[in-house]
Amino acid sequence: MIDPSSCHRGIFDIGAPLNGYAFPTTVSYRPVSGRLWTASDGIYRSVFLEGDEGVIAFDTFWSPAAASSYRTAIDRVLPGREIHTVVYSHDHLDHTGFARDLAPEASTIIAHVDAARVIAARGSDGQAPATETWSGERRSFKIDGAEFELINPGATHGNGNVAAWFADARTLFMVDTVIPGVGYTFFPDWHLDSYVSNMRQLQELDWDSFIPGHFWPLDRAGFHENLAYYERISEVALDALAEGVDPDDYPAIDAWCRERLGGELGRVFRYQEYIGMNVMRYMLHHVTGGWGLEDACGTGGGTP
Amino acid sequence: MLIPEEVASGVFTVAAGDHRTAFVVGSGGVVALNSFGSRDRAQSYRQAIADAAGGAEPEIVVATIDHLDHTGATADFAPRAEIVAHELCARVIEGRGAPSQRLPQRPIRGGGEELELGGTRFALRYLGPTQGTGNLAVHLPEHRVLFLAGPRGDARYGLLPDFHLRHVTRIWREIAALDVDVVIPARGRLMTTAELVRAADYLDAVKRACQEGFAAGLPIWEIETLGPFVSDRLREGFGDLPGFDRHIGITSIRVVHHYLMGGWGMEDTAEPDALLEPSAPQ
Repeated sequence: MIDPSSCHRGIFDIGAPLNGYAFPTTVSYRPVSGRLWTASDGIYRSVFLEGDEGVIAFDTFWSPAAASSYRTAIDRVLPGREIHTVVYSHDHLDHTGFARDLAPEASTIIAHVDAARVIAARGSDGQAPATETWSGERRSFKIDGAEFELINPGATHGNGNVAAWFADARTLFMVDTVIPGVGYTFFPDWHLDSYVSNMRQLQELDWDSFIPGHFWPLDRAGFHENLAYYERISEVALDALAEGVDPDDYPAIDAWCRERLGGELGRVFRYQEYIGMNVMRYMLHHVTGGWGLEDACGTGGGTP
Repeated sequence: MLIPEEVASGVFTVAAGDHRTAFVVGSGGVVALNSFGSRDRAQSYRQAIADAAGGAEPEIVVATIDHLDHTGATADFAPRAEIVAHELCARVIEGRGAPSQRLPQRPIRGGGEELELGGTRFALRYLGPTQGTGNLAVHLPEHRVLFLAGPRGDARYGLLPDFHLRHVTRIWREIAALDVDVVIPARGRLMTTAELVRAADYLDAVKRACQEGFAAGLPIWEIETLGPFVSDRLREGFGDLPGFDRHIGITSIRVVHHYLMGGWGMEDTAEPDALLEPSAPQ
């Protein structure tokens, strides 16, 4: 059990015990193909690779307790193996914040330089800084007998957010981008200006299954459909603005959406929870012109 | 039609709906802040300046923030004026390439500059990331006036668009220590420095309550749960702020994700000035 009073604290600056970080989760797992496995607590999802000697884990899950549960799952599949390598998908704590809990023995933490820069400067408690960085758009790795390629498609979500392509398994893994259903809450730290076009580059790769960082895997049709949803919400947001809906007034936006979109989108997973927030975020994107250098340059930090 | 309100000698503010800006009629010409975000509003702003300045046009425009709703109509507003902006703001405007938003010609470097514009002394201060990119606080020391995009005299922050939560309230407090009589925000009604401090207090209180909810294990993605939790904690101290009940839920959802995710970008780290370095991501 994780002690909520002494666990890693991320960026919390209150002194209270972090019961939310210590809440035990159950992480289940299943094989994907060959050396590749996927693990999920029902909401968060990641992948890990069986090496010849040890384990390469991608991400850490969202809390100290969830990272510990992820470790338990890996230990069940590959007992007695060392997790010698952790690969970060991007900089956010809810996916990569707790390598200190998942694998304190890991000697190699791999991250894109754009993620590594933020992680190092953030100094979050529990998030191990990268020991090995890479830059540019693509890099192939062969570690402990396992092969994969990391791909940076440009600005999508967070900083230095990369896809992992497992060519032998015909599988692509990427976090907090394509996720089944509507967008999560208000598309936090999504870079909407170039998101869809950058993500569509990944359709050029040869894969059959897309493993997202949340919920369940999708096929190519599901991937395509999800990106089309973003384009539709962008249009809807423009309609709302044209009709004079206040882009800062969430109750008004949510009501406007429910009146107009239920028939078209009402059966999409998590529509009831987030349709208003999704549209609100796109309205603000249109009104402000995008947020920051990521939206202005579309390169996700732009390391060439 | 926009009606200028003179807040100090030669310093005017104009509001269009919830958006607000300011201009200075000095001995050497008119210096305008921002442009509003549409052609109609920009032209009304231009007319308001002409009315207050005997037909004069703005010769210099300070683009205090990159967002289109504040500086996205400079092409219509002042097609011949010199555009001044912080270097980070200028980088975003250039990268965005919106035709209606003119490129700055005069960048303000680093932490800001003091300079004379149109015969008036300006202190253009960049103290770090608050909202948007390269957001300048405009201090008119001789007039005891401050202009700043971000803070509000109410609670109508909505989703806190493009706010950088790690540093924003610290910076607002630093700015509130300036010796000024009037704070002109870019949204809502005029403020005092005491109200600027209260705005920082409010966001800090939201941050604290969101952490408490997260720490307690609330489902932080549910606005129906998190909103009332935060609202109950803040009502006594801030429930009088206009818009509190309507906005606290969505504002809380935004803030709690700062703690879930660790912040967004270099702006929310301990080293936001790294963005100013020549090797910073372009």
